[in-house]
Amino acid sequence: MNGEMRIAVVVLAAGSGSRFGHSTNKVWLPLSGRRIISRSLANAVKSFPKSRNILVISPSDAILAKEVLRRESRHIKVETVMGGASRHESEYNALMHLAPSIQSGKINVVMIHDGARPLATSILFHDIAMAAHHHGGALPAIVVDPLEIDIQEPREIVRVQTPQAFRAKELLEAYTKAQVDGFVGTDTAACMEEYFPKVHTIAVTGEVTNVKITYPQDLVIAEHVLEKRGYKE
Amino acid sequence: MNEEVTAELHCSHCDHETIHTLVYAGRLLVSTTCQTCNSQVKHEAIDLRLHYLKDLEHRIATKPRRLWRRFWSAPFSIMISFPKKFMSQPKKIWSEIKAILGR
Repeated sequence: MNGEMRIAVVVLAAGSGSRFGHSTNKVWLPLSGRRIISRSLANAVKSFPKSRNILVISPSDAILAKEVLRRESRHIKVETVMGGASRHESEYNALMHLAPSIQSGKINVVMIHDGARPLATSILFHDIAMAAHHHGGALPAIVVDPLEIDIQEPREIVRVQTPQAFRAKELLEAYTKAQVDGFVGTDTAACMEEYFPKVHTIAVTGEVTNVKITYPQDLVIAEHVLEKRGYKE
Repeated sequence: MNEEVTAELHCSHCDHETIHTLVYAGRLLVSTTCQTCNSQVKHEAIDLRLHYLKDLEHRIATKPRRLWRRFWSAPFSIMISFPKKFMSQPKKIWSEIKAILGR
């Protein structure tokens, strides 16, 4: 145990930008009456009444973000940060924004979540944050059925999801070093593993319904899951 | 009202991210079409109708609460826009039903 948890929640919504011009970044799509990002944000902060909440957006979405936050997330205090060309760069920008608070100890845990995962429940966010606070790091993982993938080696494979959380000082240091070295991780855990391999990262059981909206079918599945939940989370 | 939105999603046929056209009826997604290969993902017709009815019921049940919340956040703008929005509701619902039935 490391005293009181003071958490910052970072939700990534910068995506890959509009490579195709006028099309919408998928996190801003409607999903059962609310934008995907509004659902992700609401679930992410539900368990943390005192958290600092950061939404990382693409500069081209700034006006849309302001309108959506005003309309759908009015009750959440959100700071917006401009994202970069990659997920790693967006995470770096968010951490730089939080750096003074991390260095002064006002924030001791940072949780990073992919805005395109609107179905992760507040229980999962809570469990990940607590595990990171106690052990150093935590991420949700689902064991993959070996029949799903063609693997020769008889070893256990897991599918990693978000939210991922780590102790703030180590995370900030990892991303600062990565910036100097030009290292680009595929996710938050990859960067921590590169620079702090000894930080104990706990795998918390993920949620099968915590789908990342990638394919058109995912939107249909997400609508069904939300209907079953009574549109509550 | 039927709403068409374009967004980048991964197309299973093209096997990369392409622009898709998404058609919504009210809060429900009716179909998505890849603009590159025209492959389409739709709700099953019966399933969509049942889903739409349930959703409509939920929208009607929660409308007073949503309206109240919006009224307190921006009373002036809601008072101005309310009559027009109220009058357009039958047309909007009819348009959604047409999209659900005529797909």
